[in-house]
Amino acid sequence: MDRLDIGLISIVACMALMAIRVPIGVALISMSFIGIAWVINLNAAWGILSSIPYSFIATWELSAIPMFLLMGYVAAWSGMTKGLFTAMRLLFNWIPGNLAVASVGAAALFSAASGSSPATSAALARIAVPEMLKSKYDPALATGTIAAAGTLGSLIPPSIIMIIYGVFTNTEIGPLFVAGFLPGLLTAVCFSAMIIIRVKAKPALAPSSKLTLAPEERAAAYRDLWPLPTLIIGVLGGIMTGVFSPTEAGAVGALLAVLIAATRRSLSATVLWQSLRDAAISTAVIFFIAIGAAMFQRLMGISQIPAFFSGLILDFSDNKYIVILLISLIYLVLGCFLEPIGIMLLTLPIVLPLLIDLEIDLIWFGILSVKLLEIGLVTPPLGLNVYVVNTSLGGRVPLTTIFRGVTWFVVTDLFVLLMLVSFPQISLWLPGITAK
Amino acid sequence: MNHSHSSMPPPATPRSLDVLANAMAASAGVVLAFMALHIVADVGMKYVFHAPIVGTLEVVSHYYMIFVTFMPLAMIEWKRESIVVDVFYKTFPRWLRMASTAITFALVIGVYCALTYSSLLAALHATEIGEIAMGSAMTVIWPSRWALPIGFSCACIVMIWYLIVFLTRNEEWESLFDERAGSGEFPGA
Repeated sequence: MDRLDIGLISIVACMALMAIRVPIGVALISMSFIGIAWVINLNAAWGILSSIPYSFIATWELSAIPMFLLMGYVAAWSGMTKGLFTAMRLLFNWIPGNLAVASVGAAALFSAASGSSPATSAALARIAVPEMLKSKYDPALATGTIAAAGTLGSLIPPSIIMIIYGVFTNTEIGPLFVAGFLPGLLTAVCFSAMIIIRVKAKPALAPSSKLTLAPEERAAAYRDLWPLPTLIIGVLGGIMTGVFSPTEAGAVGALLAVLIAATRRSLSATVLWQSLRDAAISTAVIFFIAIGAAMFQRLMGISQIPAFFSGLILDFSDNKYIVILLISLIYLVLGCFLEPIGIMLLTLPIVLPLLIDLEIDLIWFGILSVKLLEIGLVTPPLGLNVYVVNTSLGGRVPLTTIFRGVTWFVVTDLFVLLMLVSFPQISLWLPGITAK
Repeated sequence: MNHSHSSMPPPATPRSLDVLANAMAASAGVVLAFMALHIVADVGMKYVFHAPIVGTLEVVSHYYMIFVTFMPLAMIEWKRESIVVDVFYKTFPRWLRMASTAITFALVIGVYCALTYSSLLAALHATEIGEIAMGSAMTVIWPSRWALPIGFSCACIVMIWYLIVFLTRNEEWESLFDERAGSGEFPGA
């Protein structure tokens, strides 16, 4: 059997193991080990097993991940995200479909505190959906908004998935963060515009529900508005002006979150301790898979799968846009059952050489792939965010209703994706002006 | 509230494993705090006194990162927080779920044993030669190599306990595993 066959068998075996609920990291590590032993020899496999876990983790670039996780957990545990929805409601009180638009706004800010889309959707589902249903909102609109808005988190910095993308593709993480900002904002604006247009056309979808609060309650609500934007601006501003590297921005961001929590009198030893512990555990969860992916990348290289895959796609077409379209399809299919970081780690080793061959801008592709992975989270049959919203609401709104509600957002997302593909400047303009 | 159902650790849990997993995760939390403070201090020194802390990059990469990554592994296994795909598993009949779980055990324990063994050899070797990293400063790094065999072996021990539950208490294993199985989302991140 030649090495290419072994590589292909390893990919299939790896997917099969994941499908029977073997943890993703273990599936990757075990198949890489067996594959490398098969292609070269057992010594080589042991060599990679003993060197990669240490050498891959002991890198400065990856250290941004625990720092941003810590910042996020401090923000979440100290309750910075709690009043966000109410504050957003006040801000968008005058708009048709204000509760749904407020959810989109809250999700966009939430992204500073959350590295993960499903977690954002889960949290917002519990806060915002009951309010919308109480105001007689169409259940499909209410739940679809939350499932889709959760996906904003990965584009708006800081974003864990972009750090991982940057490390695996050797792309600078600072510019990636900066590049995600406008596409994230564009998505939020398009989501809101779509909601407003739909509600204008069919007011029954979202009966008007104005929030009236006493002046002191109003002031209290507005006080919940500043912490997360402050964090985003602090982190992004530090990176854009070149003052901080991403790791430094993460550490300063974590300290900033602690200081903000202290000024809001919501800091306690418990909050700090929980945040540290959770951040450490999440770091280990992500890095264990990343170690597996780094080994898998070696196996793929040795078995010449990337070259084979490039050949296959280039035979079909060497048009940059068609290649991106084909990769998009693969991502959307995988997005049906795998979580975004898993997909990214699984596919990058195979796709990356092709991108380099075609001289596709890696920052631009990073933004496109994050967008694609996020769309995969809400598309049927198995969009993860939809399931998370369904579970968070205790099954009160059926899955089919949520998928129906999400459809409008997927169409909007595809429109945004088209814009991002047609106008690379949307992603590349901001990093371009800050690089100087 | 049905506590016997929702609370972890499960009934008849060996307390020693609980203590072990928690202590290791706690140590990672402490290291993470030092990591953040160290980096902030470095930034501060750099901009205020134009004198960054020498060796920050090496200590962050070779000590803090290694500790934070490998110490919580036992906790992850203990709380069943590894990321899994369970959309297919949920539709399996019982015999197939048992078969899948048996394969999972074999692989997870096998992988942890192999990782423990290989990282132990690497740690012994690094200790013998007194491994150092050459960066802006010479940093002794061999002690951090030991975090790997410690982390991997403790995770392995936890999984062996779960295996024993699986093999001996057939009634319980399913609830034990399903409760904690994630939906593929990161734990709270």
